[in-house]
Amino acid sequence: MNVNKLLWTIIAFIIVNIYIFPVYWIYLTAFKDRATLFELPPKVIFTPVWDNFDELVRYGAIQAVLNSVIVTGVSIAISLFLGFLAAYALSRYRFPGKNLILFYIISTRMMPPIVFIIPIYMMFSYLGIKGSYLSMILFYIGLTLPFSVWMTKTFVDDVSIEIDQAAQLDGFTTFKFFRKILIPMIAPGLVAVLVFSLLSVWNEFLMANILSSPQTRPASVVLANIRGERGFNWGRVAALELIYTIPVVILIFLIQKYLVRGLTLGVVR
Amino acid sequence: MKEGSLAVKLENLKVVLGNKVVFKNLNLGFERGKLTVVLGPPGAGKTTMLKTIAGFIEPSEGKVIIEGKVVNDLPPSQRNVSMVFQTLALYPNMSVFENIAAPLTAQGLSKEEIEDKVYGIAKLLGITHTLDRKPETLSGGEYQRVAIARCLIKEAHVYLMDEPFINLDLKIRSNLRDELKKLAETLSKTLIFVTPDPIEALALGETIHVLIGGEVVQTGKGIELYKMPISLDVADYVGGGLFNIFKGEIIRKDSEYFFKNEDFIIKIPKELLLNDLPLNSEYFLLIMPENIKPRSFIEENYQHLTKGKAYSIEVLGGDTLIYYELESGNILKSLVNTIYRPSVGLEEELYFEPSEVILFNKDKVPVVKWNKYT
Repeated sequence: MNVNKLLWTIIAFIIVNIYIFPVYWIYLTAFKDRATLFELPPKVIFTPVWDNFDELVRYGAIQAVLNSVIVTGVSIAISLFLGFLAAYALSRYRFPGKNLILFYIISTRMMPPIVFIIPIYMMFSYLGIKGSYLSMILFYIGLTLPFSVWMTKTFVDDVSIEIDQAAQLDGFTTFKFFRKILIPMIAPGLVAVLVFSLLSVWNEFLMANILSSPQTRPASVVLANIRGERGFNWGRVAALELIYTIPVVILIFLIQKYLVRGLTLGVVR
Repeated sequence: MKEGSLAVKLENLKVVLGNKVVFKNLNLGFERGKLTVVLGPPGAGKTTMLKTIAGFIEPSEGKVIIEGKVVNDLPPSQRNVSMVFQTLALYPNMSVFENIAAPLTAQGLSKEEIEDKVYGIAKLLGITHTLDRKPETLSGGEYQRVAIARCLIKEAHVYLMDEPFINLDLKIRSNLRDELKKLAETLSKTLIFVTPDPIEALALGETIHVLIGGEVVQTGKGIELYKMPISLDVADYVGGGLFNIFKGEIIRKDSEYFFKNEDFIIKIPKELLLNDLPLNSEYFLLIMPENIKPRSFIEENYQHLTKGKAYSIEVLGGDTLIYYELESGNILKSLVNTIYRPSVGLEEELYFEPSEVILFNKDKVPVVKWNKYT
């Protein structure tokens, strides 16, 4: 029993370290100057320098991370909110064409996004919003909404309709019922939806590269552009990667409690 | 029943769910201040009936009348009804106190008033110690009580209870049943209690409507249903499948009627019969298990029935239910009011109480008198 547990702990430790090592190495690299960077064998103990970060600030990379936060934050918030409302309606109401609507929603994700690059580019140019935050936010809402509707619907489906009915008899208005009862009940599920949508937007490169302007460029695009003029500037890239991961890491820590429950919801019954 | 004494009335109700007609034409009244039980097998439309009264299901024809007012067009929140749901539907993210208080907070009562009322009802139901806890930490019985408390705390025209005790073990069930019965008497509220369990319905004992296949087939007090079922189907259902039902024929000898099947011939007491019985037809004889006893337990009046081999014995608390195999292979159930363990395979002479038998004709309608109970 105890030997077994120890064995598992060791295996888990090894696996976790395999995954975490590259991240750890990037974080180290961010604090190395050019000379230390290419030393062989690589140094683990060295005097950290802030050169890479100074360069980044001059390059406007901080603004890029902020752009990422704005675009991701706004599009995810709207997608989650709309997704929840649509999911509730699709879960609770009976109306003709419901299955068709559900299929239509998911069908928008049946092609790879690269297929609509040209139409979207033309459309947004024509509307005059290309290069703005709005263009990226609109695209990302469209990207994440189908997933958000479908996944949220399964969580709402799991809540007995008698809970809704009890709340009606108890005199809750619909929005008060959402706020006080339904949303807290499906919170772990919503967090899972949040994380999935967040990762797909935060890491998105292709559309961001096309739709953004130098002022609105998110970190994923900037990351590709700062490799360096003369040779590959590993230090600078690692430093931006470090900053780029911070918001996500903070968020994961905040919602960790719900995350495990949300991700295993529907798997472990 | 007088019109004015009805709190809830269903008039010519037609309800269709999807493409299934649940009620074709349902007419039913519920007396004010009384506990009324609706008994019916699963799928009879019990929940549909309650949800139609509450307003979650819209009837395609007919009227739902609550306290003299047609409420068809009112949403559930304005009908002033309260309900214990089959799933109980406690809000899992709220504490027990918040759950019970939920109907009051929406009414905008003051904090003191709410606390008073919640403590009052919690005390009545013996759940004051659970008020700070979350529903998921409660035991089955406590959970049920909280749901009942949330239902009863509101001043409503009618309280609907949808099989609230269904998942509990027997002891808690009979305790809660008892409490609910007393509560209904003291509070004199209009309660509609729905259950598929005949024992529960008989125990609650007030007016019982038997709902089968979307129709009320019989209405009566508990003991009436048991002793005077309106049809063989009702009898079989109310008896929980334990009644002895034999198929046979009637023969006539010297102006006396005899019921005959492959195991026995018994005389049908003349004073029981409504009319002359047509011969050459199929009949069903019902004898309740408590009216069949082996020789050592017989009381006066009992007559010999047949003999059978004991093959299975169930001790039910202080009673014993013995299954006898008759010569033809038919099974006969006998209930004695003590613990009795005949060895399996033991052949015994069996006796029955002739004045308690019920005879049904081929249409499964009783052809014996009921007047001794009315």
